[in-house]
Amino acid sequence: MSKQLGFLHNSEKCVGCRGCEMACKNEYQIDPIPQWRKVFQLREDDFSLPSRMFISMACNHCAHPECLRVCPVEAYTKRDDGIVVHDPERCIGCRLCTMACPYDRPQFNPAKKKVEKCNLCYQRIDQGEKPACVAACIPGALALVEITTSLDQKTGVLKTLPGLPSPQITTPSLRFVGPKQGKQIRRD
Amino acid sequence: MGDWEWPLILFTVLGQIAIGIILMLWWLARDRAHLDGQLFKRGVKVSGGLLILALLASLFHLGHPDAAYRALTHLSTSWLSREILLFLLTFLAWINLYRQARQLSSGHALRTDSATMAVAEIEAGQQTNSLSLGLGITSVLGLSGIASSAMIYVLPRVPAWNNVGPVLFFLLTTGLLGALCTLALGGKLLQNTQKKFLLKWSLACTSVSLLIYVIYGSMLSVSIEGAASLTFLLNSPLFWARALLGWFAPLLLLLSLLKRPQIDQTHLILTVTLLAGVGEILGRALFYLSATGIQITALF
Amino acid sequence: MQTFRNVCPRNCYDTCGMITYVQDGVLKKVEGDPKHGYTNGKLCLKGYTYPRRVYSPDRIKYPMKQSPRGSGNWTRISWDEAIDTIAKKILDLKKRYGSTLPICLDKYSGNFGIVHYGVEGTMSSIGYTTRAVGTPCWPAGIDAQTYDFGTLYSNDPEDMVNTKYLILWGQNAAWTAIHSFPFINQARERGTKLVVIDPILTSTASKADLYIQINPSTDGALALGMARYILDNNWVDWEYARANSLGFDEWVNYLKAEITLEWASEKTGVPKDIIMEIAREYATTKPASMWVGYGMQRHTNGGQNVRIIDALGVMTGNVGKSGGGVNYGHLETWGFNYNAMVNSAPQGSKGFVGPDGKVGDRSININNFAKDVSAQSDPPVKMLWLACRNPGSQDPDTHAIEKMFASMEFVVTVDSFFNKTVEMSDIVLPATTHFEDWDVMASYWHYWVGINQRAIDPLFESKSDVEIAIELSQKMNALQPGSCTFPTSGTPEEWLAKEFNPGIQQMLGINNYKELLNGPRKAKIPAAAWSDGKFRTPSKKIEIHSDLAQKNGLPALPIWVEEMKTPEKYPIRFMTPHPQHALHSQFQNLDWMMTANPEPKVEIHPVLAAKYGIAEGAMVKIYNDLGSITVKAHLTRTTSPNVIVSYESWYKNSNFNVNYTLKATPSDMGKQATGNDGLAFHDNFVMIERA
Repeated sequence: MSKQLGFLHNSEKCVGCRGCEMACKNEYQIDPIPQWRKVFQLREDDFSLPSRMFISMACNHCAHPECLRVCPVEAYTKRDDGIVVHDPERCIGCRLCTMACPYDRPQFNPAKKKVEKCNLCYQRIDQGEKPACVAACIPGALALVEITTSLDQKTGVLKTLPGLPSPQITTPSLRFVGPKQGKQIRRD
Repeated sequence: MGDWEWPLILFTVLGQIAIGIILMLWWLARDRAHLDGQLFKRGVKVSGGLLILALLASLFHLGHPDAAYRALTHLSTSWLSREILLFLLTFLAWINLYRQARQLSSGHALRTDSATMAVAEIEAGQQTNSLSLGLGITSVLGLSGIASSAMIYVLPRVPAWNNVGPVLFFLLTTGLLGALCTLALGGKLLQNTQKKFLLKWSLACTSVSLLIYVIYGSMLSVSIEGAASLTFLLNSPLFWARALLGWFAPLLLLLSLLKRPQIDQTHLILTVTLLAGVGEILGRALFYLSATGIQITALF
Repeated sequence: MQTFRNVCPRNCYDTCGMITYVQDGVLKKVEGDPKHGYTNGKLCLKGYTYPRRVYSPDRIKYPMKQSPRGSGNWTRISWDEAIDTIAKKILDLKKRYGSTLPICLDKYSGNFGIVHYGVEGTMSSIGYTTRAVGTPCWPAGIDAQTYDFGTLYSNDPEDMVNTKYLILWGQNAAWTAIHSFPFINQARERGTKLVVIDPILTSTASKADLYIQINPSTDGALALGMARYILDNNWVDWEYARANSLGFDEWVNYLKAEITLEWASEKTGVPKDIIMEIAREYATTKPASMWVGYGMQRHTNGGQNVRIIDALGVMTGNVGKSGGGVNYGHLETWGFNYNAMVNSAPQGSKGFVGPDGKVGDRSININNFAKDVSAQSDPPVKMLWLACRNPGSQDPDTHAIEKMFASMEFVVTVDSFFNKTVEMSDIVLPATTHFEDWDVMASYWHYWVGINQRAIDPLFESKSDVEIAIELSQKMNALQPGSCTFPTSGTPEEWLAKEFNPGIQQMLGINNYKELLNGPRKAKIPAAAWSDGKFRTPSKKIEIHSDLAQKNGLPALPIWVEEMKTPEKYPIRFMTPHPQHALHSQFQNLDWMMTANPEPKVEIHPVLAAKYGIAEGAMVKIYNDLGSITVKAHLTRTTSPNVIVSYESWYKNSNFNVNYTLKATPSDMGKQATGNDGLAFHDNFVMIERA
């Protein structure tokens, strides 16, 4: 693997508008049920003050993908740039990957009876375009990055946030800038 | 996860009974004078029927069973691939057993009466040897398949499964139901000592199952997800039904059976087999229902 | 693959430019229009779900008849039968009552496209009718700015990059005007402080440098407290205020006499030092901008509160400046012909005689729709026509709406889905989506205008409102010559072309509407509203003292008016703001949205929840003397202990509707500029219990 592409999500900028979820669905005209990208609201109690803080997650294109390990038909491959691609042609819908992924990112499509997931818009990336979600993010909270030690050494770049599975399970290619909280004058 | 996975319940339990029966036959055939030919045939046929049903059931779990052949591809890392390969090999080994069963002339009982014993014994001995070998190979392949099928569930994502538990549970089902079904199938074809052995083995499996479950249960609370599984189980009427039907009732019945010098209470044997069977099915259902995966525990 | 230009025609600040991809006549996907300088090639989550709306299996395909009404027993009918039934009913009512006044139109913002004013045009062309007049959304604030400045007029939102201090007042841009965020963020990267004042800790408030959880409906008191402190410290821009306004000194005297920081602090629940902090910062940072949201004025004193905030802007010299302004909205780019709307009544039509003796339509209050319709007697209202409007979901007092609808002889609705209003109708006519129409869209926030092309043919038998009017006209004139004046010719594109005039063309810098096919255009007007100092009040100055307001029975000055008191029996305020996943009753019912957001929730503070024994995820009954709803609870400290919050939208197959408990309480202003006072949506008081 010559590099590892991944997502950097900035909760300081993210407002939970959920445009990224639907931009992804629109790009591939996905069926009603599977949602490749999902916005989650972080738990208030994990932070010093309550507020509405969000993260957006699609597939994390992990360095040690459990989905790839367990798949009996080798429907998953990890590209040279780190993208974990799911090939629906090979999939037989056994759903073991949906059990194995700590983030529930592979989704079973009951209409097609196969699993689907985010493929980091590799078709767009190969054409030099940004992934649909990154391109659609209005506040600029979502970015396509290369996971490198220099990225990890930047101040403010986090490997996980409260409420997420330990990154040690699959080593996700996902980084965060945590939410910032301002001063609050509250009535409670 | 969290659903009544009927195809998987049936596949694993029926497959485990099938292999369990073969395993018991293999054990019984170690003493060459003891394995009744009729029992061998009956056991092989029933085992094969269950194995076929199990494999068919497994197809129902797939979104695209027509492409199931592709599941053999990822032997390098996928326990599911390995399980399928091993079960296929087990099935091939079973075909060999079936062939052997058909070759056994009907009524050819391996007796211990004197006169013809010498010649018959030598023939029988050779036959038993090859039967033994066949049973042994099928058992080893079958048990490997079962172990593989358990390893599928050893996922870091599911703390309750991420240990030796699944393998133990699956093997215990194999041992328990294999023994009881062989006992129920055998009936008069089994000698009293054999029946006693099967009963003792079943008692051992039931006790070990209960013990292991208690130890396993106490260790679950180490992780949040494990604790959630434990809470689910303890609050589930199904679990208590499983405990009653699958552990406590069989323990009592087996002990009562073993007290008698002669084992000929067919009804009791069938009852304990049925109860244990239901118990194992419930247990397997709970295995899937109670599993709690590590999740994103955000608000929505 | 063909591409077309479209504009989202919804009632939304952002009014996005869209590029639609069509292959073999099928809409494949949508994108934002990169040539649009405010929406910059991006849509919101709702915009991306448009393909699901166009091809939704729930979409009404044909004219349908329900017999009996409300039974759910729908049968397909032909357009001819539908129009014939409608025309005959109109003529029948005309014969029985001597006029078409028994027919009432309720139309608003389901589609804000200019050509869709053809709905009003349809009514005008059959005679004089009863009209639901006014606007539910924002009239109090409009009137406030009308009294103060002559009309509502906000800075170009792209100008927000230039502000050094930004107050978002009762405004949740993160979920209702997301495209403004990049401009706000740019300012913040340069050190601009963001202050958000809102009773609810919204997503926008979560981004603030300073968030103030104000007591609901007391925003005016906060502004007055700030004003007093600014006055005491002489941070007033006397030069600007005295040169550009009337009555400023009078107001200053009021501040000195009646307003103290202590009072303001007690009223608003905001600590004194905070009021001092924001007052100082707002007054001394130049330029400073305020964005007044529509939620803020949905109270009984909402209009007055906006007037006070306007005065605060004037006193600090922030009005008329780039990076400044008291920004609420504008209608500067809406100067079209409204050709589809303007039709004369047929010869000999009898109408409503107004107090000035003129004959015309009879107007009723859109914000008191159920009661007003039922109250008409001379002649009574017997038939309703609904288009671009869903009162069954959006109007206050849903039970009253249901009763009123049931009392009608005939109800026609033009719509795309079997929503609540359609369920209460006799006939539903299938509407086109904007992808199937020719139209032009302006925005009430940004300064861009875009053309909306017909990208795909109308699906099944759907028709646009103008096409429906043409059919109706043909049929009515066949039954009774001269009974309808709506023109019966013209392609949809020709109808669009007729909306343009030299004024709007000059403003957009085009000679022909077709130039918009190459991209949306930004109005060539200054970035800062009122920078020319040419106010549009009677006196041509900012009227801090407004005689017009006084004439209308309101205070002349921006003084404090008491907020609605919490009733004893229903001590919990039920606020129902707008979510990001729906625009009123549109979008949430679509399949993608139902997966992403399957059910409504009510946000309850843990202290309040504990008082009533409500756990996370439990069902809660929210009720008062008007009605009740049952919703799942979500415990959160982003609201306060006496305010519960549920986001209004229409979920598929659900009877969830926040308006069951909402009284049609008017807000204090709206009559002057929009014909009727607004609605105090956020003065909705309830009780809760575990369901």
